[in-house]
Amino acid sequence: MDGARVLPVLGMVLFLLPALWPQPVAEIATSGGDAAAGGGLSAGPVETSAAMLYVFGIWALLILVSVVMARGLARAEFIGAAQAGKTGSGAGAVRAGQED
Amino acid sequence: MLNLLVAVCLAYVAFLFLVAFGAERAAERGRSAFLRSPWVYTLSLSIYCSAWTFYGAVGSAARNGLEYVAIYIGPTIVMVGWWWVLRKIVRIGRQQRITSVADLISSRYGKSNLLAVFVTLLSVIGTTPYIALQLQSVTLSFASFAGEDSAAALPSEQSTAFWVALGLSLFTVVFGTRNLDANERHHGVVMAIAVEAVVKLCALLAVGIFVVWGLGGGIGPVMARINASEIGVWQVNSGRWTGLILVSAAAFLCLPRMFQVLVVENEDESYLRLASWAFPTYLMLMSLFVLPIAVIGLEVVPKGSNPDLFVLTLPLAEGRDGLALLSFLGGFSSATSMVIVASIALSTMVSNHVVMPIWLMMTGGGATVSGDVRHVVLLARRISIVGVVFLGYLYFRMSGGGTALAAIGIVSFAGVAQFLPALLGGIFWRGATRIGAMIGISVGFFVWAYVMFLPSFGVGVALSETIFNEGLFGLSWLRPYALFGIEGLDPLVHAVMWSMGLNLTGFVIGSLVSFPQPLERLQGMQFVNALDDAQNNRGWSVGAAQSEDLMVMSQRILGATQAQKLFQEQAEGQGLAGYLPEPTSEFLQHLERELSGSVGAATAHAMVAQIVGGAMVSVEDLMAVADETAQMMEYSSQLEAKSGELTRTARQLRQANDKLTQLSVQKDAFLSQISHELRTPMTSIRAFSEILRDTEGLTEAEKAKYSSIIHDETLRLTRLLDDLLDLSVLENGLGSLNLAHGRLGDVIDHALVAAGVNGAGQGARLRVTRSLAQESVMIETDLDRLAQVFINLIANVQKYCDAEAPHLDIRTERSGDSVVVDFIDNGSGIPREVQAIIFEKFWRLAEQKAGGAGLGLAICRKIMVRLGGTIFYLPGQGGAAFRVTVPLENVEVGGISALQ
Repeated sequence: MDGARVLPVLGMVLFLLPALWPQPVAEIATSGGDAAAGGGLSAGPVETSAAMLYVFGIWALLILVSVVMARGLARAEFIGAAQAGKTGSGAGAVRAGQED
Repeated sequence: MLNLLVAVCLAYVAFLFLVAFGAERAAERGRSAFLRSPWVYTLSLSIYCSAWTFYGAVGSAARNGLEYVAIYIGPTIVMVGWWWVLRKIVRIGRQQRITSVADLISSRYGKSNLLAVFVTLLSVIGTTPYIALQLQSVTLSFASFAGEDSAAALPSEQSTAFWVALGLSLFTVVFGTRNLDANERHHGVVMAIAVEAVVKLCALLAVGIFVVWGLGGGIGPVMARINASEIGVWQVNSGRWTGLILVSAAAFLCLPRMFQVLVVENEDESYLRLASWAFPTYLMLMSLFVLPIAVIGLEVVPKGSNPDLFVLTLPLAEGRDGLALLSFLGGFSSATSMVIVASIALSTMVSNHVVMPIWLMMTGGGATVSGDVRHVVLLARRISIVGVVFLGYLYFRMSGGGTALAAIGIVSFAGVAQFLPALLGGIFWRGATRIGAMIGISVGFFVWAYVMFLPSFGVGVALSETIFNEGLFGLSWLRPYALFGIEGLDPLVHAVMWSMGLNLTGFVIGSLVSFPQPLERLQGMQFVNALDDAQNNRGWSVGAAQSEDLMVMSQRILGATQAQKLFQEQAEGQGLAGYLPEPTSEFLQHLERELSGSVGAATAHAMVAQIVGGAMVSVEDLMAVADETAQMMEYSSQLEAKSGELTRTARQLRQANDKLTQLSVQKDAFLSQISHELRTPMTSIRAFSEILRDTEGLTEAEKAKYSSIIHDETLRLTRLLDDLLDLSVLENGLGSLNLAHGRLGDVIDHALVAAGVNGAGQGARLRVTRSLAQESVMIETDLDRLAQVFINLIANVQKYCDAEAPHLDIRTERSGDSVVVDFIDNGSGIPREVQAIIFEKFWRLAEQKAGGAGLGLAICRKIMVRLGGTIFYLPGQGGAAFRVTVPLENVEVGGISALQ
């Protein structure tokens, strides 16, 4: 259940990361020169295909995790209901069971 | 080509009508397993992807690259985080029978109708441009097809939009307002939009696959072409990126149409579990091919054509007419499903929160006047649907349909996002108050209107150029694009920052400085603690509430059958027979919720308050609010339950005692009655027989007269003794039933003739209306006995109905395995205090009108018990009303068959 709570936060952070990516600078000629001078991989603007891979990759990952999570939650609720049935009153168990 | 397009369109619409109709039929027959599937629910959520997605996303991608994805990331995060927010909203929606986002907010803040009206208006303003956007997209796509076919006469854009608007209104009115369902669920509509969801996904995927593998030569080359294009590098403004994600997440929760499918149409909370990953998958698939389509479109389609229509023009340019047609249908589906659901959602809000309160106010007496209120609600909804769609059409005509699709959509999103602070604050923060919500929403709304909505019409249309350059009233810090002198921000970021920021501030400060009303506290507590079980929802103190008045009111809103069923169930639950439960606070609560399913929380509350009186929140409720640690709650609710039970038992005992006392009085009365009844004829028989015996010289005429008097009196005696015998036979379960098959209508005919309704004399004054169509049902029972019951009831109307022009309404209705016959007259009815004893022996309405021995209804009841049916007095029908229930097949009643 806690996982289910953390997941959207994690997704939010991962999806907001692109906001920090470097922007193409207005004068492309000089920025290109600077980037070449810097020589690092980190300097240049991110290519759209790479951005697409990142965004859709995160998306697919989130979906996969929530599939697993949804199954886990269904089981957790079921167990929770069963426990409530053992410890609590009979009526409570019936109600929890129906909510599943 | 154009004719083909129109034909395909009409065929598709006809198909949707069939799907919706079939789903409604299946739901009515209870075979709705496939309707209640979480997959249908998930697909219905896809109305989030309107024509804006279908056409506009590609346009947006062609202009700004990957920015379009942000609109789908917001909802993805909301769905993935369903455990936090959605689960709670859905739970509250079910507990409180919420009908719309306006209803939720109004209900949370003390069922305030003012707030509901405000949210409704804001929703209408926010949705109108969006509907215009859908009409525009259909029109544009139509025109781009027509452009291919120069030979055909081109219909004007406005007439296309007009016909589309008309068709959509018709569909929505037919399936959106078929019935006034207490749950506000529309199986037909949901099924149709689920089908449309599949169509639009398939269409977009087909175009995407064609573009990538058909035109682009596979994934690798397409990626290379994307990088080489003018949108080849990540150039999304980070403020816009963040802003769009946040706004779309907010709008996903607050859009009236999304609220409708997410919460109102939700059948089961567990559907969310599947939707939590299936819907993000849907969104991802929808946006997967957008960028390739945009990039190839920029290369292939001639310069200067509208990138919003690449999905359509790309296949057309390549000569793939079939694919283009599919794509057209996809766009058509996106537009229509959005308009349908949005207009249903808005019409519910308008009718519940604007029309109904005004109507109730105007009709003066409000809830207690007679007449059915449901036709008013349905009519209001139908008119609102047409009104909403045509408002969109009007906007489309006025704006001329020039703006890029995405721009209109985002204005609308930011508008409804203004509900978010009040909505989330309402379900997570108990301190949130009505004043705070009002301030927050109104501040947010005005800022939004000023910096985003009005400027969206363009410079010089709604706001003059002077205002744009120099600010309102010449104050430079009030410039729409640079509020408080902050310049250089993207207009979207600027608008979202200021409207949401001020909205939130106003909401928090307003809530902190104001003091909530008791009802508001109570609702607040219930909303915030919605996920804890053992909810104990109180609100009405048991008081002078009159069940019968409540019944009269409920019948008008829920319909007679449903209301009677509800009351009977509740009465049964309390261990009472008949149709009038005790007005306990649980019952009132339940009733109020049922009503709010039809007319909204605020109106339902007002109506119940009108009858029950001012006592809205009891001392116990306040105590419950004040200290609500779990133990206290538990303890006090247990105590309350116990004391409630005791009170009820005591009341029942008192009733039983009263009844016994009355019975004993009756018994005494009967003894004297019976001796009187026996003595009177006896006396005259004796007197006249003495005359006959002792008097000499009687004429033949005199003899005949006296002996006929003796004969008449003997007959009267015999009748009385027959009745008594009949009753005792029935009471002891002796005698056999003469079972036969027959038409119910014939039995009623026979009874009417036997009671002399159609003949001369006093009975002829009575006017009878019948439901002949329903009477043709065949029944197997003792037809003579049944006719005896009917004759008795009709004769009673003749004897006791005190109206100027007596009128008897015989209503027949099938109900499961039995048929229900109601006899309703227009007299003054039977007083409440004697309703319980009219079926007892020797009871008569008025001594002076003594026509029989007071055995009629008692015999009727015994007969009905023998026939396996029931007879009840039906209160709240405007006159005396009796309900006879006859089983269609004879069922043997315990023990009697053994005696035969």
